Amino acid sequence: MKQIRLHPAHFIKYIKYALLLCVIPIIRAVLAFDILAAWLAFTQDLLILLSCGGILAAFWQSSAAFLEEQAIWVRWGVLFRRLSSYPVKQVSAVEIYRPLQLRLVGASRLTVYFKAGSGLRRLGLTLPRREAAQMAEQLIPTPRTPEGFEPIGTERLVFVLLSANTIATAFVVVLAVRRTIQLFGTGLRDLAVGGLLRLEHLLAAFLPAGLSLLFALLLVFLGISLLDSLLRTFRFTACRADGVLLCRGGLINRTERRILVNAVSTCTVKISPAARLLRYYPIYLSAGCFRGEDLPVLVSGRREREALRRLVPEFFPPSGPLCNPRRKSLPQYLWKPGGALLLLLAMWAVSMRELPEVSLFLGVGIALMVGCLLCQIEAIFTEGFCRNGNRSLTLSYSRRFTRYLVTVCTDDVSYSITRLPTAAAAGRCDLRVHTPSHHTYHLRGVEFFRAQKLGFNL
Amino acid sequence: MGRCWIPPGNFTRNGAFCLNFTVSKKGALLVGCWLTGFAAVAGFLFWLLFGLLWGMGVFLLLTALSFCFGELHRRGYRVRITERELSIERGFFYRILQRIPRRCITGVSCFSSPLGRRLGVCAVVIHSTGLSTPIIGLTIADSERLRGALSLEGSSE
Repeated sequence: MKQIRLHPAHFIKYIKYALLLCVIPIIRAVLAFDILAAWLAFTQDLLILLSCGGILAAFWQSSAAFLEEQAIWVRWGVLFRRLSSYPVKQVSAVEIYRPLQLRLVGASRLTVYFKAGSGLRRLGLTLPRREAAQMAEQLIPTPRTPEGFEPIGTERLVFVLLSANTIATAFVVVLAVRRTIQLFGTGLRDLAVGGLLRLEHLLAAFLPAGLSLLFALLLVFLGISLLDSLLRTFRFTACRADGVLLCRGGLINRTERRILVNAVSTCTVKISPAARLLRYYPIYLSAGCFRGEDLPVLVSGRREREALRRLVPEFFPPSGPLCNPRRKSLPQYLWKPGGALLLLLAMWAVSMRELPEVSLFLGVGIALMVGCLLCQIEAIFTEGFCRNGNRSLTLSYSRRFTRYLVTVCTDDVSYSITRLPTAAAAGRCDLRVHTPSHHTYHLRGVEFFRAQKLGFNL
Repeated sequence: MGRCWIPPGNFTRNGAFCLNFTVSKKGALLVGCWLTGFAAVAGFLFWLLFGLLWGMGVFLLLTALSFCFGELHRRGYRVRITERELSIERGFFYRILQRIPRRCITGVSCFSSPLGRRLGVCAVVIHSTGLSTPIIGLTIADSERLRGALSLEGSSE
């Protein structure tokens, strides 16, 4: 492969603060419709912008990436030069990510993930679009078969719903809004708060006062996360052949992932409350240092067993009992949600007399804690591990409202067993399974003699 | 998969390879000395907030606890290398057993401070896929044996 230069967008990170310093006054003036002030700001910052352009050009000129002798070679740096090589046989997955800002300048973000054992976990390069596709094709070729998983109709809706992550989106939105307000003034804050208050007024017709604002916030975050999920999973397809699993999708930000099947380390089924209601379960794969926890490979229901068997044959349901519930410690599972529930009930009892307007919020908290408590009661009967007939290991654990079923199909795991004196006397322990993707799966209250006998060879 | 190099000596009765290490008394002393540094910081803060007597009392109490902890740390520590795995058992009240397959070990780092070198002990960090685990208080000679025993030899298949 001939040498290709990295895209100038790869080096924006070195000059981004200088760029922000120059661009923000111009944008502020434009938003205030003051073109003269914007032109004045531009002419004042022209020297800084030209210097930034010169730095970008110097970095771009001295950069190179190419494939040679079964290794990825990357060269960059102007004064302090660096030439690095990474063996191709250590590659476990490749991702081509094309967000809007890179698509506008004809670039793609190529991320190469490595198998366990190598020092570097991943390598990120911003390359011109064609060169990125060419390099990805040489590292992991595209499978030729068109068959696979392509959600349509109801399946598409379910896929969008189960791919949405409301909590993570809420954090990102709040941080982004705060940062934008800091940079561009309070006009945007008034705009955002005004819209939220209008929604709250609408909901106040159906809900008691206080709860309407909470539900308005929830609806806003849910809407944004669903919109983000809809855009990310637009025309999503997954197919598997020739030892490669290929997933691609996205409308504004396009993502394409190629995963080497022989590098797959875990296959996780996430059983969230939404998944239980819809009776479809998203399945995530990890391979080497590729975690893949942001987007599922497919969603599987009762009628999609064929797609599951074809795309993810690594998934193996537990072939035996996972645990012995009689030997578990009830306080270990129930103390957190139970303690929170008792506290909320006590506060609710007091609030009914002293502050009735707070009672509804506490009621919402009580309902959530009851749900969490039910999930932890289920975990007493389901949390554990099982060695399967095909020598893979199935783990089941629960966190908050979600249950996870994980099939570990790699040899490269290590174990940590921890015991308090009371647990040691009762013959149980906590087992942690460490995988190459740096996931640690924590199982509570497993039998010590079973954990001790766990072997490594699959 | 690389073959594990088996150093001579240290075999069990049935001929299986086995190496055992434990934390030395000087290693326990090193841990106690490190924790005494934190005790000094805590004592200083109490001195500033509540007075000299409080500061001295907190410092002496935490120093005594630090050396007790060092001794308990030593008593509960077992490092065992067999042909296939490395197992580390530590803790006195809260027991932790870590089992790492030898072929998953990607590196061994040894750290020594001036005080540690004076006492002839160091801290070893074992890097493996998905986990890095420290072993604090081995003698320098033991750490060299450990590192040698965990070295991999041979070409991959």
